[in-house]
Amino acid sequence: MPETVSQIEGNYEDIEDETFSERLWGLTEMFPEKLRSAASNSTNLSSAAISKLYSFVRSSMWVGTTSFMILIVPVLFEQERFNLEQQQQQHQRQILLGPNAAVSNMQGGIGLAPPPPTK
Amino acid sequence: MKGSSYKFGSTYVGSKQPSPTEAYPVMIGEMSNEGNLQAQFIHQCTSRFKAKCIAQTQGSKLQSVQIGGDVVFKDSTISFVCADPDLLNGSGMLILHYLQGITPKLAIGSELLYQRGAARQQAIVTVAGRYKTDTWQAAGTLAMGGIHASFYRKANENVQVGVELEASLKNKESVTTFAYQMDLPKMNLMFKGMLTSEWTIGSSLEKRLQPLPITLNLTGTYNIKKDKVAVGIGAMLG
Repeated sequence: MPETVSQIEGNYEDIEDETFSERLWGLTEMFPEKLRSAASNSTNLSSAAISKLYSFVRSSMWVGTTSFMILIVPVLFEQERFNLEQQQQQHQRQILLGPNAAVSNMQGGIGLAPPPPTK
Repeated sequence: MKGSSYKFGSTYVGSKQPSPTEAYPVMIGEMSNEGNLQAQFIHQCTSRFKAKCIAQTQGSKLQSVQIGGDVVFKDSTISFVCADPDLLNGSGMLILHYLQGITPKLAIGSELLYQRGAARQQAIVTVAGRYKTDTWQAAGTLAMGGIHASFYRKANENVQVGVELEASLKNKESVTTFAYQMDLPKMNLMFKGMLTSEWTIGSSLEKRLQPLPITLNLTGTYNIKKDKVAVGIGAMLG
């Protein structure tokens, strides 16, 4: 025999053992080609779609927030401040003149005689 | 950062008053700290004719002169402006406008711009129209190099909105701007907002600080695409 058993086994040792993932990958060869390509296409498509959706949501949130803050927030601030001031004024009037003064306008103002009673 | 400059201006208003809001003659002068002067002279010579003259100097040399006038007829207006006339070399620019009102709501006009240089001459014609009602107004301009259209509406006593489109065939670009103005006198507030198709947003807030006679002005501009912000603060006394 040209080669001894130990030499043949030595030749086989030069070939590395398959890694675990290579063995798993080899198992996929039992599926038909169409199913394999369909699965790979769908995973690629969904991962690309998810990353695009994520970056779109990020940039649209940024655009929306800055536009809202620059274009709309100052007016809302001022309106809230105005309403608060009005409320405070009403509250002060209520404390000073009694609960009726805040709710209804007094006829003629303070200092004049009260309106005659209606019959 | 740009170097700072100062401007000194003065205005003279004459005693002839054809209506409560206008007075003639009017002379306006503005001088910058580098020695550049801009002077304007406007006078209503007769009830139909208004003359205007603008001169700009850079240092001690005269940079440009514009002489013009408006003639007003019953429902039309003719105005002409002659810029940098040079009779010795035969160069200058002449702009002629003609505006005619067709119905009380519709007005059409045209403009002729004639420019003559050292070796070439060029004429550009533009037509324009405007339709105006009580609550809204639409205007458009059509030239050989581009178009310009605008729409304005007064939504209610506090809010006014407007849209404007400007397209240029020479540069092959177009910009659309949407703007609104909110006038809230009981809050002493005037708010203006603007949004353009080039991803730029801007706003300006003017608030009168009672009881002081000071109006505070806060502005902010943000270019979303280029991520550039500019903010400003100003105060007006009186």
